[in-house]
Amino acid sequence: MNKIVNEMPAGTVVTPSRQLNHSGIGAPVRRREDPRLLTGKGRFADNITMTRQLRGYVLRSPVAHAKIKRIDVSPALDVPGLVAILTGEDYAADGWGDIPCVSIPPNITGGGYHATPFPPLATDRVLAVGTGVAFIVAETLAAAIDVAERIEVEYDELPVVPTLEAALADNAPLVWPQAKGNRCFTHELGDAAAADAAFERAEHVVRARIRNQRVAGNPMEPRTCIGAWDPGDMRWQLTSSTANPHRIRLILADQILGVPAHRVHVVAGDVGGGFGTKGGIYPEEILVLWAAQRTGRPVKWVSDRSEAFLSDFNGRDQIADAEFAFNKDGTVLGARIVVNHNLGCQLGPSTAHPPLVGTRMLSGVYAIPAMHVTVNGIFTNSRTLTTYRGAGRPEATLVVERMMDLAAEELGLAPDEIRRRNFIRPNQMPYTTCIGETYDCGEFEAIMDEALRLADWEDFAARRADSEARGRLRGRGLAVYIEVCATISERMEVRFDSAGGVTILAGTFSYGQGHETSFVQMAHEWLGVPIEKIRLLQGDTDKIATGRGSFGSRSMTVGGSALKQACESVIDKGTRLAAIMLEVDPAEIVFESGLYLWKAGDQRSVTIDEVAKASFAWKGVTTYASGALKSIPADLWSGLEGIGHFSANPQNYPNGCYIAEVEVEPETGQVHLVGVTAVDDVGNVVNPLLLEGQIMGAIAQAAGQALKEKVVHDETGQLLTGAYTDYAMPQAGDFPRFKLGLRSVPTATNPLGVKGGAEAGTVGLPPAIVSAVVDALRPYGVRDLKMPLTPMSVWEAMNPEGEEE
Amino acid sequence: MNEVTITVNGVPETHQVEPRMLLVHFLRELCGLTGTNVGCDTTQCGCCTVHLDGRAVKSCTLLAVQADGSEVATIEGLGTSDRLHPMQESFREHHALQCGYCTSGMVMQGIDVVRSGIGHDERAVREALEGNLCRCTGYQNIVDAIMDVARNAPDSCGDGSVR
Repeated sequence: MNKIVNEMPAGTVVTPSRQLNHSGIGAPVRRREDPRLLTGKGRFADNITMTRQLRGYVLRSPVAHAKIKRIDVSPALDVPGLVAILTGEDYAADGWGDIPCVSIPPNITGGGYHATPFPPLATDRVLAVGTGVAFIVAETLAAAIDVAERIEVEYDELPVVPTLEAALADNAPLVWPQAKGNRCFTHELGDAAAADAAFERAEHVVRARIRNQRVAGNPMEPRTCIGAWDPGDMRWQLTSSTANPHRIRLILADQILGVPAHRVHVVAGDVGGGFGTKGGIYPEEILVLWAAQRTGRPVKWVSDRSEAFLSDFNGRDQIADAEFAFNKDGTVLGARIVVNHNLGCQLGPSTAHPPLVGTRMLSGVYAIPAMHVTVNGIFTNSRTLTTYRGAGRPEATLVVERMMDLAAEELGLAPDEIRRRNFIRPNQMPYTTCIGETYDCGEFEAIMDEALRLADWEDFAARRADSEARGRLRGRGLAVYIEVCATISERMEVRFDSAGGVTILAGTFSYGQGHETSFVQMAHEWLGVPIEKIRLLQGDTDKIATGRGSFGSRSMTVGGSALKQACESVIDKGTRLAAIMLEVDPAEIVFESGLYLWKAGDQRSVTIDEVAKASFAWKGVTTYASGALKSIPADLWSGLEGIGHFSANPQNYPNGCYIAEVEVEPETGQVHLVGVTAVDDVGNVVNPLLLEGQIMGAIAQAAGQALKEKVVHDETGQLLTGAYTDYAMPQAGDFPRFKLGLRSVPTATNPLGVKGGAEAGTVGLPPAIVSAVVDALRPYGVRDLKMPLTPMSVWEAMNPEGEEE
Repeated sequence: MNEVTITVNGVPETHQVEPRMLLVHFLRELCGLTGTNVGCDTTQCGCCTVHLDGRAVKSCTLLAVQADGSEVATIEGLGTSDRLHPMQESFREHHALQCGYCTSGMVMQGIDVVRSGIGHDERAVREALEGNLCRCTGYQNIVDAIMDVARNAPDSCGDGSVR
């Protein structure tokens, strides 16, 4: 077996270089997908127009919770261009299934969970503003909208539970009558008795309620899908902006339609961002297929931004009530945490993932001897929860890191000092936390020290004095994070073609991550084929047997490791054919940089390109020495290809330190982010340019959540943040230049030594920003602040009611 | 229906349009130029930025009838995959795009920023991108790409007539 080795010494501190000396692993290769995207030739779903295509439009509920008394379509029936008005009753009558939840594990504690019916159109009851009640299909979008405006729906309004706070209140109305206390599930981790004992011994206890607000994922491409029905072959074809085409095929075939998966063809071209939001199946993706079959014509649905705010599943939205027990010297003894996570009104495919995965990480980077965690999934009359970049780990990290800072403040310790006293040490690795997570490696104090150095932490006083001289408050905050990345299995396939070209058939799915470059770099390095001759194919369920998609910072780990195995399989097969061509013993052939070489002999060689072409030969191959025409064994005579599999068990644990510096305008409460420093341990790096891009993008999303973004409902459940006029997105002017560093400790849990790198910023930065603003407001006696730290919320913290002049 | 003629990337395009048709839909649906994207409905995101008579505008905020008789340049009027415009090349060099959805608008806005002479001042460039949202990159590489062109190839952004 040819083994591929790629290593970087542990603990090397690297500032990513952009110099390009080679095109293999570790090189900042410029992206292969860019020319297409830069010239307006991207293959986004809305760029496709099918012959005789119709437009679909969803009529949505304007109220948050109501019984549907009556839907009267008759006033709309004479609108020119109308083709069909479809309702939830029609859907049920056709026997199509509900959207499933696949994120609750069978071993959940607390006696299971409350399942929710989730048809793509409501039949009897609407549960949140924006719930679909009818699907209109017309010749044009304008006609469909005209129809929607004439349909009369009578609602019988019910009491509304718009927010998590409202759902947890005594005597709150129930979203699902069977779910008492609006509770879908309760899951426990750790040891309650051990945690209680720690609190009995404690010399100091810190308590806080940590609120992590609801945010909207906001990929720049709004969701788009086209359904088509092939009556000849009886097959459905979905073209979608989804971030996970194979997962959608699986759900459609297994759960919605109950047909063999080969009758469902899902295609995704270029997808304009996802961040978790586009990772599951949505009602509209089912509706266009259903409507296409009913009308016999392709049906396209395109969300506009306002509709995205109403209909996209949301992220975060958690309240954690935490108590941490300490000795006076700052040693943590134990923690008790109750997490309530807002699931929205119905369970979508990934709804339970953030609360259940996030809470696994509540021990952070610290050796906490005893913990007890309870996590409740709570229903409200709001849009369904799903994963959003980080998906539970940002929530957990905000809790642990804020608690550490609150403890430092109360115990009179510096924020870095309390962490030093509690870090899990490298010599304790592998370390299993008391809530059951086993970290394989990580050097937390060293990475914090590197970040402190890069951020010039020591010279903060001078910068603060400078800010004060300009009439501004200045603060600094740090957070040390750990997250869990890469999950389940992946399959990658490598195929040579008859002209020596290589196609990677990826089970992963890139929607901005640059896999057409990073995976191609890997194959180039391992196969020795020029990068220009390698192409990545993804996102077509008819062409790629199966796959899991890209989420949870998994692709380099599971996709890369599976690709490595596929390349090794190709090389091994090629060795057998090369041996025939060279007329030597295969055991004596060495594969190096694309060359099969008889190293032990007279150095005769054949390239993998020649071997691949030979594997397609019509009449067999001529041999090296004798020139005889030899036939090829059948399994090597129909192309050179290999399949690789990998599953991330165990997963990996990227970690790092983020430092934020802020200035605050005392007159307005406006926060200016003036410094962001990140030092990450993501293991070995495949492409530093792409990694840096991932880290910077995650930083911006983290800062967006910390400072600007929040989904807001009023007391009736109306969405107040329904457009970019009301939902504040991070902009170029919000940011300083980022200081980035890498300090690698490669993991042995996968053959590449890589860890996830795509979500680090969203996990690590928010608590650093909150702590920095709290630090700036220390003269005002501010102890804690809730995100987002808008000018209003900061100003109010500085000017508590009753204390104004 | 109104007859509208707009010169798009140097080619006159004459079509019958409803008065409510937006310029971006004229470009995408009638001219088949799908490189200009739509990311919002409130003129905030800038995905649809094109040049109208040499100035960057948001094509979702103009009616096609308003652009009658004008010259419009879209992303398709810049370079090609094998011969990128310097702004496109700079975006690639600096890894200033990820998913690529905001990119057409960013490139067109970036050219306008350089043309207007503020491309050497990082703060000014950042402020000039106020109306162009990117969810992927964190903006730093976009800012660097634009400033690189301002430094090394400002003439390529000329007076806005970028063909």
